[in-house]
Amino acid sequence: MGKYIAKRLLASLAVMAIVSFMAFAALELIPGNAALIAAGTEGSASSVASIASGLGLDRGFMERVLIYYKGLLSFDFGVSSYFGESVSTLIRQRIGVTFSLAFLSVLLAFFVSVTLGSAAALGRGRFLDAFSRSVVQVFSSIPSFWLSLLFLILFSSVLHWVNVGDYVPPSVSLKGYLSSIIIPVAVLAIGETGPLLRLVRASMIRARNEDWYRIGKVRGISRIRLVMAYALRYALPGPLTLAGSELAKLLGGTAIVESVFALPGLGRLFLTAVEMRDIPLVEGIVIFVSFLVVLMNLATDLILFISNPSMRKAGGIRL
Amino acid sequence: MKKHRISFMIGIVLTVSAAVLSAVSIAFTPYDPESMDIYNRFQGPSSEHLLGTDHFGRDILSRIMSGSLVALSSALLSVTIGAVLGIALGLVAALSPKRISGILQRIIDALMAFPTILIALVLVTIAGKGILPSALAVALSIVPVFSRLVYTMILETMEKLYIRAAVSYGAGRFRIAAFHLFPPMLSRLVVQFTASIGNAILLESSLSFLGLGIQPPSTSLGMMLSEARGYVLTYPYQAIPAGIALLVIVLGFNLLGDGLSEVLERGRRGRHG
Repeated sequence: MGKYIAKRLLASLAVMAIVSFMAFAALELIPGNAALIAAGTEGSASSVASIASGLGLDRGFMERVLIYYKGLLSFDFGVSSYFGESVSTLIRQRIGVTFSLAFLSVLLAFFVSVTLGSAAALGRGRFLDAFSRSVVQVFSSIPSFWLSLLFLILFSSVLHWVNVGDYVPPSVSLKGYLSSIIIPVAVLAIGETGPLLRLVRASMIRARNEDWYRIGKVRGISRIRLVMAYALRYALPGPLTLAGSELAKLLGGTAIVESVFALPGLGRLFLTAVEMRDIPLVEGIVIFVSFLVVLMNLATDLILFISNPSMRKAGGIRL
Repeated sequence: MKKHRISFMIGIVLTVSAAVLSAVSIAFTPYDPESMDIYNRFQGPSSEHLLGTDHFGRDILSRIMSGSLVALSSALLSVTIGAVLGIALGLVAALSPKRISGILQRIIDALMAFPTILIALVLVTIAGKGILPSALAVALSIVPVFSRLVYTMILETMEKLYIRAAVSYGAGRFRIAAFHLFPPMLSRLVVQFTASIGNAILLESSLSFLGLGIQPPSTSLGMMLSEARGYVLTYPYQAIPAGIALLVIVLGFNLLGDGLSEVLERGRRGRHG
């Protein structure tokens, strides 16, 4: 068991090292350097030089790699050239919005998928199964930005339920906060429901075909008890892993929804950074998000590993 | 089983009609998709403009037709590049010595760990806006999918007797890969290719929506929706036609991919009893 955990930890560290190096190297490739971009078209040669030395660009490549990794270890990504603030402060201010969007939408999608997926796989009706299949197909084909626009039209200009652009932080008013993020959460949840529902349905069908399920049915255990007490426990690890990795991915994938609904999250910060060619900020967010992704996947794996005796015996899953 | 066949048929119909409509747009569109007519802007559907006109008075149907062509061709390009790179990476990872294969696997994991939109945005930061960087970004998001598929398929096949026979005959790595490993993988690769096109179109249109993909005056469906966004509260109809077109194309490819893999699965089960 210890061996598996150590192996997973090492692999995650390796991925993090590769990711951070790729991000660093990729942004080195930018034509013209970061100082020229930051100084803008009006910048004089001396201001370019001073920005360059501020960014450490006058040092050699290896030296900069070392400085960069030293900064990473202390959560220091440098200073944003557009905002003039430290990148880690900017990230810290905005991660809350993005995290609540991602978390709530995955939670919602998970509950919808488990309910609908189990009902579709184990219920008597053929209709429910056909319905859930169509839901999977349509939900995974809808572009999230279009759905955002449709919801905007429906909830804002037809029903007048929400006002776009007034984000209310939870510290000011919990009700205002919820009503400002509920629609974006719904948009994201619809995108997540496709793959989750597909997986829940497939695992539940596998559960249905197991001997213990048939025996339980023959012995007269009620269908509801059979599902709640046995089938779910058998079928949920897969969907839970997927939910974990989808949550991690969403932390970097909410840019569009944040931009349409004017939410001050990490995604919109990233769009601004790209638009303004703010290299330190781009680099910082990429690394922050990908580390989160790696750590979340690691956590999901370890939780599954520890909670599942058969997996512990087999020495872990290959992911 | 019948239900699957119906959705497969729907998939074929949707993709073929999208392909035909966009192919026609090369030679003919009802109006020039770029010609403006300010006096007739924001029109609803009429016999003159079947889907109405946009904020510059351009014919929406014509723009959807040429926008679909852009969506399809750039998705095809991206998925082709992504598939070739991914297959190559998967082959190398599976066939090289254990240490190198481990490193390559970690690189594939790292690519997987990035949210696709993030990869795309980084690439746009490096290479600038435009159709080529965005196509490349989409391709990059396809790479890990294919390399992982190839990697696992090769590990499965390597255990087969005929591969061991070939090795004992002294066949080289390259020969085994090209003549013994690749052919049986082909059908699953084709399925994955089809299924990836839908995702590629979604990602490309998201980039265009953010203004980072194809640039005006060319049209793409994502860009049309990005323009419609400015009028979403005053002229909500503007956001409808291009969105439905996009949904229909992506849905078509997803249904097609699912149908193909269903057919393939049945074929495999049939062969092995």
